Amino acid sequence: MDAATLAADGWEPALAAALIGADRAPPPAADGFFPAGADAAGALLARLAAHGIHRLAGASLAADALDPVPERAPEGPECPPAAALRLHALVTEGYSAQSTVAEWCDCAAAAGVRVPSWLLPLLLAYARQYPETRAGITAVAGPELAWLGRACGEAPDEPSGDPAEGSGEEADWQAGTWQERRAAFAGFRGRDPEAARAALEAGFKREKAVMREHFVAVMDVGLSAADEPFLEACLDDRAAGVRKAARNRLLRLRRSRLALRMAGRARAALALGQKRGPLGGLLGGTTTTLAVALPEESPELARDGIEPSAYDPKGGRRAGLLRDILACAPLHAFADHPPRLWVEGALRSEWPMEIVEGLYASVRDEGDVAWAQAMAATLGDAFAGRLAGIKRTDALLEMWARATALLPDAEWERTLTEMLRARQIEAVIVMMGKGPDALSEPFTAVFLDWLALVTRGSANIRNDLARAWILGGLHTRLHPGEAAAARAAAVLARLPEGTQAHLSQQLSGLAEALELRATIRREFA
Amino acid sequence: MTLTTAQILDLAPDAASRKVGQDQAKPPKWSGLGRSGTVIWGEIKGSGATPYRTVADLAGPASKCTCPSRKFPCKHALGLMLVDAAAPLAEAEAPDWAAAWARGRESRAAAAETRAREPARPVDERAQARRRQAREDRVAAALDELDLWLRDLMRRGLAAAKAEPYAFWDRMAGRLVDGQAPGLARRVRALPGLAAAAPGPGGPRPEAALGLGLGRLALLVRAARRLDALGPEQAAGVRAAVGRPVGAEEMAARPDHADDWAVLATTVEEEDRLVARTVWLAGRRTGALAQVVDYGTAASPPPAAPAAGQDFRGALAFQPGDPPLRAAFRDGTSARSPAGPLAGAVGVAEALDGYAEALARAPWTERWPLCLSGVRFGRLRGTEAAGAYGVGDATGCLVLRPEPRLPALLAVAAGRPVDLFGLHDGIAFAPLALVAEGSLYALPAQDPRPLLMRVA
Repeated sequence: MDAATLAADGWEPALAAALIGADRAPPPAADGFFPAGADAAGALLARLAAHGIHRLAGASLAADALDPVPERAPEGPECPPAAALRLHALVTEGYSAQSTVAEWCDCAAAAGVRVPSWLLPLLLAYARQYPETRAGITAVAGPELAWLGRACGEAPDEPSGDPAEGSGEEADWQAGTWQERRAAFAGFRGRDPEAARAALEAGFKREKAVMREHFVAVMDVGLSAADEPFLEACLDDRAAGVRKAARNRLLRLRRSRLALRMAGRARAALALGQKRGPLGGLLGGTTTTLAVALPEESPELARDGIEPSAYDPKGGRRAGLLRDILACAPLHAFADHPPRLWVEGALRSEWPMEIVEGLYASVRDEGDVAWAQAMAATLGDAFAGRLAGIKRTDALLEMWARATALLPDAEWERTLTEMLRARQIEAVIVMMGKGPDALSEPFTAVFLDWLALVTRGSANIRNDLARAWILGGLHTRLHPGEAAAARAAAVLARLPEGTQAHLSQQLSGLAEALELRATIRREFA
Repeated sequence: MTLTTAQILDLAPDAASRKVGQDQAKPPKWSGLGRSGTVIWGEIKGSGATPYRTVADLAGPASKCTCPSRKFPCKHALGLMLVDAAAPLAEAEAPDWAAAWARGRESRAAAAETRAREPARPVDERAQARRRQAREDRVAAALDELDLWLRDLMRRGLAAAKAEPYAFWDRMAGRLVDGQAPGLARRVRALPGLAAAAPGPGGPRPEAALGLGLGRLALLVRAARRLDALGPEQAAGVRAAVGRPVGAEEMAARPDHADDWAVLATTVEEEDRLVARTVWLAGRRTGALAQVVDYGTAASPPPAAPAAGQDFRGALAFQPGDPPLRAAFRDGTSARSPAGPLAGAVGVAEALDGYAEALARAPWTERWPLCLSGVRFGRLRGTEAAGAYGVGDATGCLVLRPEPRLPALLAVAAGRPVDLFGLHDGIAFAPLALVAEGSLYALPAQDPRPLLMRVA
């Protein structure tokens, strides 16, 4: 036997013989190629070794056995190396860097640069692990990641849950998984809300409760007054989830019967009046009062979703009912008096926080700027002691901060700037915990200057600042830039000796984060 | 001299150090930073009462820190080097403690040099010969025992052997260690892993892998028992494969191979408590490949070596063996590699011919380095490896060993032809470095994540 025939087909028989063993499958007699004189096991071992090596040395695949992956077209210039290393560090950091990764992507998109190819697999894994960052990452590496996913033989990521996208004109909303059906129905609603509702109504009773809830929730798409009868009927559905979904849709229609019922209940509970001071109002003028008739529990209220909560912290069950009714009542129910009077009356009433809380929820849901302004101003006056007979409490301050946060961003900043100038430290600390997500550059400068002043002030103020724990959340909201980073670093550097550790930690975290955000921008320059 | 971030991170003794080292790489945490030539220093506040003083020599790279960590280099030294890599430190006058450390290093290096120049003590040749004979007797006995054990396996069949517990293989490996044949012991210990591995696309069936492993072992035993019939280089190669270390004197007598050696990749494997670090080099002028292996422990890392993306300009000494591959560094300097194609890269068919030639000279070779030029990534079809990843050019293609870092290679190659360096075991090819558009990308030595670092 020569080497050529040996290589041709010797390996598989040799391996098969080796598997069985020389005891049960004695190898053929010595054939000249293998040394004579070896026992059966030795001969088998030699055959296995020789055929194995020949197989390894000769194994090769023809060029056409390979399907090359398609070439990826370059999408744009790569980002600078320093920025790429920054992204690598952020992605490696993981969970805590999500907002910074998103910010990096925004900066890269603004600079018109792409992620370098060596980072793509890490970024793909990151986008899958933290879906909140997916939109930003897609903007700077979308086609590249899609290409990589295809090259790795993976199914493309499912489309994002944008209901308008739907899955094509012909998608059947009556078949498929619940996600497919929901998306298909959303598409149907987007095309023709009337027909979609009619089609849903026809087979609604036969759907399972979970599916009914999904469909009612999707009716947000193209919601109009014409949907009201159907949604009103859903308030009697057997499933609590469906009732809740229908109620939320109906409350969005501020003239729906449900909303009008709530308005009626609110008006029945609250009555504004005037009280004259002594001597017919000559002393103390007139004050606004609010007569409150707390609602009773009833099946009608329960049908409309107003039920007493066993966990109401204070005030009692019926005051809780009133708060929930006010939160659902449209603001036009209170149109007969200016908002300011309502808030003032509420503050003087027996259940001030419940009523203001309810009104606040309604203002927030309707986004009514006039109400928000009136509410913030009245609460501010009350906290400043300009309204007689109202106690200054922490709850009042908290409510004021929340109402102020409903103002438009520019107005919020204007209000806060005045407070910073007026050194209303206690209020500012609470106010800064809420408010717009992205603060403007001038306001950031004013705030950091204020912070510099306050941190060098008395130890009590520093203590209050540290305990409020607001600085940690501010680093994403303040306007990033070299100036802000330098200001924050200066605040930290000039911190007096003996400052509490938890304040200096918060400040160094703030300075570090602002520096990082400035660095990210610098690296794209 | 500056090290890149990737090179510094490769110095870290473990993954935890890599992570916390990066945390220390923030300039605000440091005070008194400065550099003088290649020596950099700084002070950092740790949990101790006084700040730790950290000093590092980038040329080494070597470092010293006053922190109580038993890891080396500690996180502070890594952080200090990373700070310098991000933005080079300013020249300054070294403080006493940093200057003292640098002086100490210089004097120790000088003392070592003088020691090396001193004449060696006379050797007792008779005792040496006696020791050598005793060792060879022990190895011969171990070879006989292994041969008997292999035949016994063959008699019972591989199907029966696959069912044996690990202790069965480990007992034989232990006997081989006693018989001063650690190279054979390592191969025996690897056999149960081959038999138990799950078959995947591109990988061999477990019984075929076991058969191939046993075959290689049998050939090595056979060669080791017939050393007289082999040439001196081949015999030395067999002795090395059996596990006889190459002595310092023998190495000193080996000739220099001067070249511009491009460092292509570094791999780190943990064997028991030892860390084996392998540096793969390719000669830019000769196209020769070399493998430098150094060992270290957690407390004493392997000696410094040029990192991937650098060129070692100087001489290597190859250990005796045929074909030559294992080598040691001699005098030389490292510098950043120039951009360009992979040194010594050839087409797939030619590379496979080279592999076959290496097998012809040393059939027990387990893995052989290949430099491929202008290959594309893709999927294989129509073979038993259908669906597996492969690389290929017009002359042929290779199956890629499945591994989690393949997406990184695919992403960087972007479907274009690239140069690839890696290890081939006859069945699948495991890439270690890639050259795309003139830039070298290396798989990080100790990072399982799908990531390639651009090193040059």
